[in-house]
Parts: sequence; C-alpha cells; structure tokens
Amino acid sequence: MIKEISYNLRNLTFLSTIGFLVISVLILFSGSQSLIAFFLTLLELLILTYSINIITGLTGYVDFGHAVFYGIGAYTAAFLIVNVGTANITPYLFSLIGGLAAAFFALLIGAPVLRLKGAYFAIATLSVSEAVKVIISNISALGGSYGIPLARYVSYDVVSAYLAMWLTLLFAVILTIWISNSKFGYGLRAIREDEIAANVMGINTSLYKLIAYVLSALVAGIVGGISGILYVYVSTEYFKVDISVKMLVSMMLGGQGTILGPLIGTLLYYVIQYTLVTSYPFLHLLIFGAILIVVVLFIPEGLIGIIKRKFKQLKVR
Amino acid sequence: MNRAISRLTGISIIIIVIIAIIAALFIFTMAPTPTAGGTIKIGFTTSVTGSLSVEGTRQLHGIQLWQEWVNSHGGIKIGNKIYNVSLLYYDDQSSKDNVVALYERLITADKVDFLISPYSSGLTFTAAAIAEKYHKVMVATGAASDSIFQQGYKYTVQLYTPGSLYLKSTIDLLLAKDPTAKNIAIIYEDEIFAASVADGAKKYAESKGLNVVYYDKYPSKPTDLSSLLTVIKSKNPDAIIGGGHFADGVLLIKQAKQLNVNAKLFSIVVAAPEDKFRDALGADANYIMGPSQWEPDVKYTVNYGPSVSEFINMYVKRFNETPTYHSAGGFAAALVLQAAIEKAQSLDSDKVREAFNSLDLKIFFGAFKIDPATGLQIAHQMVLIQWQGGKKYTVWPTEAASKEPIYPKPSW
Repeated sequence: MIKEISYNLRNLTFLSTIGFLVISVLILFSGSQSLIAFFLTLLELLILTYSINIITGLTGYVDFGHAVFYGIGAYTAAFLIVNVGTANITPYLFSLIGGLAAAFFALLIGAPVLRLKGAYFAIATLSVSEAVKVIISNISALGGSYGIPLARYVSYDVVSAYLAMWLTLLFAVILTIWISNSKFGYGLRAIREDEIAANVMGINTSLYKLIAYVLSALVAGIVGGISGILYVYVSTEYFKVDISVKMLVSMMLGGQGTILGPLIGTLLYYVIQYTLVTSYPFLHLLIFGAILIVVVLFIPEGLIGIIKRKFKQLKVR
Repeated sequence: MNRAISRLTGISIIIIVIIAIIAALFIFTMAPTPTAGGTIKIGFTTSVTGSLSVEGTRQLHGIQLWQEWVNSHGGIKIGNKIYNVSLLYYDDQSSKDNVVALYERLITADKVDFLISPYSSGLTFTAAAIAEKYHKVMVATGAASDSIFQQGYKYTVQLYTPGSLYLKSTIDLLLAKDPTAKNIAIIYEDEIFAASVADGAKKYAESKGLNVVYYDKYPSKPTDLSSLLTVIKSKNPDAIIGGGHFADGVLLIKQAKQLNVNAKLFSIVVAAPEDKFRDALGADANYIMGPSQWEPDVKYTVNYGPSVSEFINMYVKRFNETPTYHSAGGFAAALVLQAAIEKAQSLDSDKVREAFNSLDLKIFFGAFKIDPATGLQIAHQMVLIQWQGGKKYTVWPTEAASKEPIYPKPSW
C-alpha cells in the first residue's frame, strides 16, 4: 500500500512539475511584461526554495543564512561584469561562475559549520551570512556599503533574465529529482531521521551533508548572479536574513524534503503575498501572519501532507 | 489499483487546472484598466513595512497630502481640460524583488502616467532602470546617491541634493562669515556615500581658494578617532567638516572635546541634524552644524505651490505630527512633477521630461533645477542647521534661516 501511495504521489509530482515548467514557458509568449515580471520573481523564489530544500529539507539542518550564497553569487557576477566586461559574451555566464563561487564558499565553511546541529547550526549559518555581509561592505573594490551598480554594463531586460531563470529552474528540478531518487538522497533522509544510526549503517554522513550543502549553494549562487543582472544593482541587501526566511517559509508551507513541496509552497506563498501587497498595502502583513498561523496549526507537515493523507484515504475506502 | 490511478489522474488534472486558473487569473487581473477621462495616474511603491518603513511612510504621507491639495485646488490644467490626480501605490516591503514586479505592473498593467521613486537609493537603482526601459518620467525622492545619475539614465530626475554637494552650503557659510578663513580639515568614514560627500567638499573648497590641510578617512564603524584628531589639531584648521553616519559623527565630536581639538566651525553630515545627536552629546552638541535636505523652520519664499507654513499647517492638520524632510520630500516630488506637466501642457512622457529641463522653481522645499543631460539635481541647497542652547535652528542659507549662525564656535 505504501508503495502505491508513493507511486501515486510520484505521478502527481511528475505531472505538476512538468505542468508548471510548461506553463512558465508559455508565460513568455503571453506578451504581458507585468505577467512575465511577476513570474520571474516567482521563479527566483522557487529556485531558492528548491535550493534550501536540498540541505534543510532533506537533511533537517535548518539553514538560516542561506542568503549568503545568493549574495556571493550576485557579488561574483557583478564584480566580473564590471572588471572583465561583457563584450561578446552573455552576462549570465558570470552568474554560473557566481554559482561556482558560492559552491566553493560552501565547501570551505561546510566542514566546520556542518559539525553543529539543530539551533547551533542555524545560528552559525546566520552568523556566517552576517559576517560576509560586513566584510563585503568594507571592501572598496566591491563598492563598500553602496554596492555595485550595473546599469552601465548590462541593460535591464526581463525576458532574457526570465530565460536564464527558467533554465536554472530546470536544473534545480532535475537536480532535486535526481537526488531524491538516488542512494545519496536516501542517505540524506537517513541523516534527517537519525544521524547516528545513519552513520552506523555505513553512510559517510559528513561527506553526504557537505555535498548537499555545496549543491544547494551552487543553485542559490546562480540565482544570485541572475538577480544581480536583473536588478542591475548588487548591494549587501542580498544577504538580508529575510531572504533566507522567505525560502524556509515557502519550503515549509509546501512540505519539506519533497519534490512537489517547494513548488506548491512557493506558489502559495508568492501568490498570497503578491495579492495582499497589491490589495492591502497596509494590512498585508497582518493577514499573511494569520494565514501562516492557521497553516502551522492545522497542517504542520505542509500542504504535501494533505495530499499524502488524501491518497491514504483513497486506498482505505 | 486502476481506480486509484484514474482518481490520481483526476487529481493531477485538477491540480494543473488550478495552476492554470491562477495564471489566468493573473492575466485577467493584470489586464489594462481603462484610464478614466480627466485623471492623471501617478504610480510608485513605498516602504510601508520593512527596514525603511518610517521614512517610507512619511514620504507616502507627503505624496498623499499633495494629491488632496492639488485636487481640492482645481486639479492640473492642460489646455482647457482639468485633470484630477489619482495615486496608485503598493508596499515594496523595502525589498528589491517587489520593485521589479510592482513597477513593471504599474507601467504595463496599471498604465500609470508618471512615476515617483521608491524610498532609498538602493531601490531607486532598480526602479530607474525600469523607468528607462519604458521611457517613463520618474521623480526620485529619498535617493541622494550621485551614482544613480551616472548610469546614463534620461527619465529619472532628482529632487534631493546629491551626496557630493552635502557640504557645499557649509563652505559657503564659512566664506561668507569669515573671508579670512584659509584652512579646512575633511575627515570622513570609509564608505561610498561619505567618500562622495568628502570628495565633493574637497573639490568645492579648493575651487573657492581654501587649503584642504587635512583629508583622510577612518574605517567604517570606528571605536577610536584620537590619532586622526591629534594630527588635525597640529594643523590648526579653521573648520573641521565631514563624518559619515550617526555613531561615528557623535564619536568625532566627543573625542574632539576630550582632546581639546578646536575649530571655528564643525559641520557633521547625517548625525548632526538628528534629534538623537543632542540626546547623545548634551551641551556639547551646541554650536555644531550639519547639513539637512529640509527643516520645518526654513524660510523660503516660493514662486510655485504652497508656502512653507501652509505646507506645515496642512501636514500637521492631516497627520497630527510635524513633517520631517522625508514628508516634505514626498510632497515636493509630486509638486515638481505637477509643475513639469503644466509647463509641458501634455501627458506625454518625453514632453514632460523636456519641460523638466527648463524648470527653475522655488518651492517650500527649496530650489529645484536639474542638469538636463542626467537629471541630477543642481539647484537645491542643503540647509545648514546649528544647535544653539539645546535647540536646532536652520542658520543657512540666509533666505531659509530662522536664526543667525554663531561663528566662530567658542573653544571647548
């Protein structure tokens, strides 16, 4: 029975994900700039949610400073655009390098930080993010606390940023699906359930965690690079803790550690947030807070939990 | 199994349909709403929540007050037609991703006629790029950074005095009060804003024949400035000017007193006009000066719009608080836009931008004139405040001053 449930869920996941990928391509042909811009920032958050899902969702290590990779990606791309130039190459190539830089940084700090567990890990990641922010704001080659304006080097263009973002989404989805179905993914989930037991069973837990951390940093870094180009301005705002919290909330709304969870969670979070911001500029936080409380109280396992329960009922009847 | 699969297919289809409906809903809600005849739509985002909410809300209040004022005074006249003004604004939560989604929406879906910038230079960087793409005029308020206007943008015009001119009025006052003044010291925080302030001050001082006997920076968020102040003391300057942010500005004055570093004039950016400056320094704040975009006690004569006291009375009546320069900046941004529309006699973005080039206004906020090529503000002067007997007074320029400056400053 359990096998059937997971089989059904897999089908559902597959269809919805493909459905969303197709719809988000069709958006490009709608001709409506505001719709494209709306979906573009949605995709940005969605990929970030997929990215944090790899480390926090699968291993249970709550990363409160995930924005550090987003920021490093953005700064790397911006620095290269200014100092290398974009003659004959697309600036989005630099966002790939931004992703690599973020992954490298994760490799460096991963070993010490991932030794910590629970709240200590959360605090450590938050501190790393704040420290990097302060260091960058003191480096004049990176524009100090006034950041790097890019408008002279790249032009603001929603459509090309959308293409880059969509390709990154595709990468993040494939990566997540691959991890979920691989031995590696089972190992990560084992770490989430009981790290000591996983270790005893022969899983190299430190290595597994580190790889997950580096992969999630890679994805977040690429998004950071694309965002820097899109917003034609990079500043220490990219390290704001709000960004990490947004990712965590979207992931938990949908259901962590799954493939479908980030998609449902981000859609819900973003659509509600956008609708409230535009309709109730003064009350939106209040309403949104109330919605969040209701979700946490009644469906703590996220929306994916409801879907799973529905499948169980189907079979029992 | 088969039943389960068919049910599953059903559910999957439902999910996809829901996603499609959400998408369709947005296409629907984003469909252009027809502009009612005789209304000018002005769109912007502001920070009602988030880290910049205090300044953002005040700026919003200023703009709202202008809307009520202009509509109750017969609207904006273009030819024989009278246009009322409607505002369309969203909360950007002080976050850049909202700026893209919402400004794109304001321009392409809500079809606003003109834009006002979000609060802060950081958010305005992105908003200016969007305005440029759609050739929409945007008045930048709450954004003092020079570098927004070095990006080659045409459609963004600035209301605030740019950072590089922050200390210009200080130097003017020094030379007017004391033509024999020769030597000045410039000390500043090592970050781009303060550096551009200091760089601008140095160039201006030298062009006026002053000797900059000391020009150096201190690290961001310093804990000790005594070594720099000792060097300054040995140079014996007539004026010590500069600073950066609040905490270091306070530290600078505290240590200057401890080390008995005297000058006839101290002018500290950002920190000095804050009320907290007096709270932190007590009597030591007295005689210290500092530049500010606008103060409620300025005395400007206006050739356009409400007078200073009319503005303050309206504002106090409507919001029950004294306006700050953020509130005044909101009203003034909309007011100069109104002047440009009336001058252009058109709602066409390019014509209004063209009209901005020849505007030379004296409004309650001060002078307004832009550099035609870049949109950079070139006429607005920072007023200079001075603490006297625990109270803050505007002392410069003379036409705006509510009190005479006390110069030279007595020794510590």
